[in-house]
Amino acid sequence: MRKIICIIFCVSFINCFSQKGIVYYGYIEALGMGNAKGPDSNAYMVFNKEQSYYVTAKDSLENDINKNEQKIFKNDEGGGSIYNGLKVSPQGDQVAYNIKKHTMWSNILYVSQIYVKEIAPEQKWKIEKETKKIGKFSCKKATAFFRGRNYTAWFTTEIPLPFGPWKLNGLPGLILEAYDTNKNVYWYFKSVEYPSNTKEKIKYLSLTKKEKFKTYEDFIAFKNEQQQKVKDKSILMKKQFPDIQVELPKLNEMFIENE
Amino acid sequence: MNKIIVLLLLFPFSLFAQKITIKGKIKDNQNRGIQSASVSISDENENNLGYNYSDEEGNYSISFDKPNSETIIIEVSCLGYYKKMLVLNVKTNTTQNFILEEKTESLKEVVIESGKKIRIEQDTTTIKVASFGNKTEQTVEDILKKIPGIEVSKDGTIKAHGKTIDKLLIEGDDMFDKNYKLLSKNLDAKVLDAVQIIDNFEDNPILKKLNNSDKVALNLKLKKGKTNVWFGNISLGSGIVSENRWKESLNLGLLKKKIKLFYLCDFNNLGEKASDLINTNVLDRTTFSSDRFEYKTKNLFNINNNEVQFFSKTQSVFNKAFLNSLSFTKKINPSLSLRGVVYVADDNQDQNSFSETKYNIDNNPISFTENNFYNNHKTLSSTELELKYNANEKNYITNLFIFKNNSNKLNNNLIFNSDQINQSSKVENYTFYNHFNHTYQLSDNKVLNSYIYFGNDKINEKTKINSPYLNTFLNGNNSDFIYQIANNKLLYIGGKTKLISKFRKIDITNSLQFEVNQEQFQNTFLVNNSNNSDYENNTKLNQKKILFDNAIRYNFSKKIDFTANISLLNNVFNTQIAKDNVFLINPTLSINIKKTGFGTFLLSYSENNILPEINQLTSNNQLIDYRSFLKGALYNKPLKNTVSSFTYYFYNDEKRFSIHTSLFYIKSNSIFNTESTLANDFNFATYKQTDGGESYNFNFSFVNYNRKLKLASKIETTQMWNSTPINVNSNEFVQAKSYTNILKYSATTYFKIPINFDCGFSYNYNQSEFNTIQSNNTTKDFFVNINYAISKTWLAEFNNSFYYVNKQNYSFNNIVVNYNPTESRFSYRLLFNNIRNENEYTFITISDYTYFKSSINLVPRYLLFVVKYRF
Repeated sequence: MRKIICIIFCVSFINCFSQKGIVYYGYIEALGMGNAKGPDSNAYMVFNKEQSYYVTAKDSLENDINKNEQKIFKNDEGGGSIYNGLKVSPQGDQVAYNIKKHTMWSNILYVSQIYVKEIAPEQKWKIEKETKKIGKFSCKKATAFFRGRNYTAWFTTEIPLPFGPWKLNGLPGLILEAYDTNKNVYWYFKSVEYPSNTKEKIKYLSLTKKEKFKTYEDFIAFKNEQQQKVKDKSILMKKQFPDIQVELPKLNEMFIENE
Repeated sequence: MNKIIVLLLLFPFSLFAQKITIKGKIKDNQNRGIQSASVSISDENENNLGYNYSDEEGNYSISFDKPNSETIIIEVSCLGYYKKMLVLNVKTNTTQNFILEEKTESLKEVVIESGKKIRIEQDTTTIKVASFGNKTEQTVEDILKKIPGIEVSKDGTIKAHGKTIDKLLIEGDDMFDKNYKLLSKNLDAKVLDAVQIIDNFEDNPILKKLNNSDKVALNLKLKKGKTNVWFGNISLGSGIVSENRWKESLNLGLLKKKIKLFYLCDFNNLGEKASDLINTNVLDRTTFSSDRFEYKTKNLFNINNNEVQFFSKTQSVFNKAFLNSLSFTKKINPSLSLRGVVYVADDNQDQNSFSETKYNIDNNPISFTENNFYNNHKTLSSTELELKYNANEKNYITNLFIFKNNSNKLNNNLIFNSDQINQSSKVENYTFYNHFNHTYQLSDNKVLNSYIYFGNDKINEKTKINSPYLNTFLNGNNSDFIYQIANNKLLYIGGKTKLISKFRKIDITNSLQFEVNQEQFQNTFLVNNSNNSDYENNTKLNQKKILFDNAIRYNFSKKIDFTANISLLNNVFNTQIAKDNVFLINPTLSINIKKTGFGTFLLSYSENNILPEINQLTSNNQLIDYRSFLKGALYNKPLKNTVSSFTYYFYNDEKRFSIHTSLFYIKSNSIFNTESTLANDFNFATYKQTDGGESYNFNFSFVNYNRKLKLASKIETTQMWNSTPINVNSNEFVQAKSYTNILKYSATTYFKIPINFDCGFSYNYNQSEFNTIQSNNTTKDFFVNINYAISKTWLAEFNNSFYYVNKQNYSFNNIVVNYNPTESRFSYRLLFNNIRNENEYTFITISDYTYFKSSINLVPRYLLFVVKYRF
């Protein structure tokens, strides 16, 4: 009997603290497209008071039509503005953030899965007076420069949690919408539920034995290497198809972060 | 005094640096600290001063610059608790605790803003133009050349993703159909924003549902601000030094929701021909899409222009070109649209040449010289109208009507050896085609396409020759004119019904086609105004065809597919002399292994049985040029050849190289050959059906990029072996053999300096062997292009090419300077062509037993200045 009480207590205790919420975003990535038009992916973030887990470009989130050409995308080194269908992988592009531990784990699919483990980066937000309504939430505007882009975020103090889509965090309310100057990256709000019975878990990233975390510095080096590769490839293409003009692809046309 | 300065220095410092810290603890009703509660502080005017979150124990601390007024608002909120607000007056550091009351939090909100959804079509690749151009591009074609995945061939044909494009759309609308070169060679490059490559393109919305098209199209997206206004450009170019050179053009466009309109006009005498932009006739026989049949009547008499293909047209063609075209699409109502193109293309070409021909048939070769003064005035005009009716989800109807009126006046005063010959020819050609298509969707995976076509093509050709040789040969007087008048006609009508079915792994097409085809080849031949019936023909050919086509494509997986096609034809082939009922079977097989780790393979085999053309069936001699007679033969059996091909390509991005290779083998089992008698002054040939020859064609190219040297290079080779039976001045056919070897190397630098180089060389070797007489010919050329980006607005290009041909050296040097001032509607361009003023070029071609050496004039040095104004 005691044991049962104990278990019940434990379970209820865990439940109480692991009460979680889920927010769904739409994410348009238009890197290198020169305008705000790009493939539109689904994204969600599950959170409790201590951690958040964000994912997009995930296989199970998209329907078959959108992701039909995923193989072609993988072969293409993601170079410049060429998109063929949506980028998806079974695990998706994820960001796991723990406030207390001050850690941020993330991964992106770029030819293969690239995992990065870093100290949770901070954005120096400047909160502005401007407000707007997103759904029933009254949102405030905040701006910050972060890793090569000027971001605008719309957050609501009605959900007082420091989370946001991708690596954006640290505002006195949940970020419902965010974009950079040219809207080359653009997250928009779809729905929120709290508390939520969603089966999606707040988790850390799981790696296979062969995969390893890169440090953020290693990741910067990796990006530069990829940039060089895309350049080499366009030079090859020019030889194959003469008269093509080749330009060095810019990092901000290839990656969200570019510093 | 000192004190004051110190005070002044301290004052601002203290004013701005004064910080206030507010800290405290946030607790619930049971005195437990609340973690992750948001605390945010603002002033009276709602300016945020600072914010933070409470730690595990519920402690918070916020530092902020002292505000102007002392009133601040503290807001504390946490999920699961009621929000608290407090207005405070603070001057110094303060401790402020809060107690929050629990509440049951329940948030549920869904926002659907469908407008934000931008679906990228899975078959579309969008490429922003700005990242590929360097602002020196003049026309859309110049831009397309620079976009990866798009190739523009010398004649202006565009290829995307390795395939010849089906259409060039503008803002999603087809305006020029197959005559897209009108657009790509004339539209101003600066209006382009992006180019979309549409794979698996299908214009027909019903067929699109089956999604098995192989076609590729390009869509041009124009810059913003081009809708609902007239836009365009006018450019004026004039030669500054020596020769009078002109290049004037006008582009006008209007894009509205219901109507799109383009007017393109060009006049130049730089060698760019207007008629090169026009497609003659379209013959499309596709397995999984709709067809189009446009047949042409045959000409009779030929006057050679001796143009060289070796150089660019601007180096060797003397031509005045004028082009005027108008095209539009109009949406009459949401389901009905009308498209039209009207054009006039006019060329007036003068081409002079001196040539030497030698027939190496035996130990006594025949040789002669020709000095040509050639003029050709060609006018092509056409009207094309197409109605597209999207009746409902299951029915799609189109009707395309084309009318063409082409005229061609040729005149050639030539000196043959040492005698004067004059030949002139006037050709009028009227053409009318109509294509009606109805596509009906039977079920989710079945589409029925019915196609009814009709065509009528008439050629009226009047030739007038004054040749002492012909007069002697035909027993005329020396001053006599010979007139040859040809009235050739073609009339056909047909229908084709095609059932296209698509299953999970299999695509099947079954079609039934019926066609009636009446052709007439009629010519009269007058010497001194009296008919000479030995050289007159009145050949009629009537064909009634029933065709049964069956194709199947089996997709083993995404990477492997297999296509088999069998075509059965029954043709009642009726010449005046004989009537044959011919039954032909043409199979095609191909296997395609795509994008494996070690490349893509394509293997195909086909057997082609065809029937002879009307000009091969004439019963009397035809005079086909001023010194050649050709006589037809009786139809005996079908002509036959087999084609086998293998293609392989591989891209390795990691190691930065790519390989392309292809091998073709053609075996001709039965061909229409000629038995020729070559005399000093005339050639006589008679068609005869014989066994054919063989030909191998091998092509290999290797491209790589060296990172350290910043050098991209390409090595390419083409090897061709050919054998054909030939009968010249003999009783029997002898195999003639030829071999061609082309080697090319080119390199491009990518230095991080404003100057970069593009250079290369090529080696061509040509050998032929006939009757144990061997002849060969070698040409070499070398080029260096220097690109110099002087500044962002000034760009210069130096093009230098050297040719080593027949122990002669030629060098061409051009300079192009572009000045594009930013934020100006004007741009300027200076072209310095043929700086070294090379004025004559001699080339040699050899084939079988013919050795041909020709000298042509080259366009002399000129300097052209062009101003372009955009509006």
